[in-house]
Amino acid sequence: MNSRKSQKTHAILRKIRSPFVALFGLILPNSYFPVISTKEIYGGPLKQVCVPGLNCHACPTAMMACPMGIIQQFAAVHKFPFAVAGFLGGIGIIFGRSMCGWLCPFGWIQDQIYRIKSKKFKIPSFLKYGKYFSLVILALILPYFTEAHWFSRICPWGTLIAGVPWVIWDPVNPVYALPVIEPGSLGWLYMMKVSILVIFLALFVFTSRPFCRTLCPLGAIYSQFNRISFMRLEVTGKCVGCDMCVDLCPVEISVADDPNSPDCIRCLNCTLCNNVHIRWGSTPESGSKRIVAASSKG
Amino acid sequence: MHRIAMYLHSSAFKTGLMLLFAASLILGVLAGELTLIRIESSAL
Repeated sequence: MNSRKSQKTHAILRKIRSPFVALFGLILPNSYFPVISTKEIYGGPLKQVCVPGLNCHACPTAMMACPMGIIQQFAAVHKFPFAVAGFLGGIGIIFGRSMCGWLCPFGWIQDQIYRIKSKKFKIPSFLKYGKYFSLVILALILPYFTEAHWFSRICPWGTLIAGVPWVIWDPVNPVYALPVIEPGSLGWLYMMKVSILVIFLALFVFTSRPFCRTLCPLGAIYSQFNRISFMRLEVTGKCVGCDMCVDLCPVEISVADDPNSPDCIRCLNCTLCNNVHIRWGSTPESGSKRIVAASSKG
Repeated sequence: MHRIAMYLHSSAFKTGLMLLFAASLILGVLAGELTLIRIESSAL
């Protein structure tokens, strides 16, 4: 009975995931529509609060900050971001990497583009270390020494929701009667950002979540919590190893072998299988089918 | 090794870690960190 109830809950969660991300990850944090008349981005108190997923500060309608923007800013001014570390760590210890699957709008966009019918390719597994490079080098070390936000400079999500819209819109500030985008300001850096965006947009058609798996520094932070978070995935001893979970997984994890892998984005697609379910709290040494099977044998 | 793994998965460890993060968040807010968050304008 409990199992049936949990399967129903999983089914509801899977159905609401897409509209949930669209509403809470994309629309609500980017709903400053007075920008249409003011031509200036919002700078009120909400901009001092970050969202749990990626969200470019500079998007014309952005109302909230990006955690990676804040981390880079603090690295650039040589301070430790206690508030953001507490915020991200608190979310991580409760939900693991769920924000990647449930609140990050860029992850959602990748899922939507991947639906386009085409030949699909797997990403070489060594590329998953790219996100740690991105976090340590682009978001921490380079900003610390150069005082520039290097990850933001190449972030394709920032380019998509901020760089490109501003340039296409090209508004004139009504107060100063001057163009918001200074003429001649679009140099090689802008072209590089757009090129990176175009490459990733093309990759989204052929591979599942390539940005999350290879370049996202926020994913690199959250991934460290998957193994110790309160929210966990568990595979029952009834698993027959059919690999249905692998086929359903957008990040190609063998859920049956490693349900709490650092790469899991907690999208819950794998819960379509009756033998995978969410478990809350402490579950020492539980998780993989091998461990559960071994423990059930006594 | 097994003991360390057991400890990492215990409720006490997770709760302790959560309290630590909560304290960090409160400390950061009280220290006025939010005012340091300037508007990122590297979109171009």
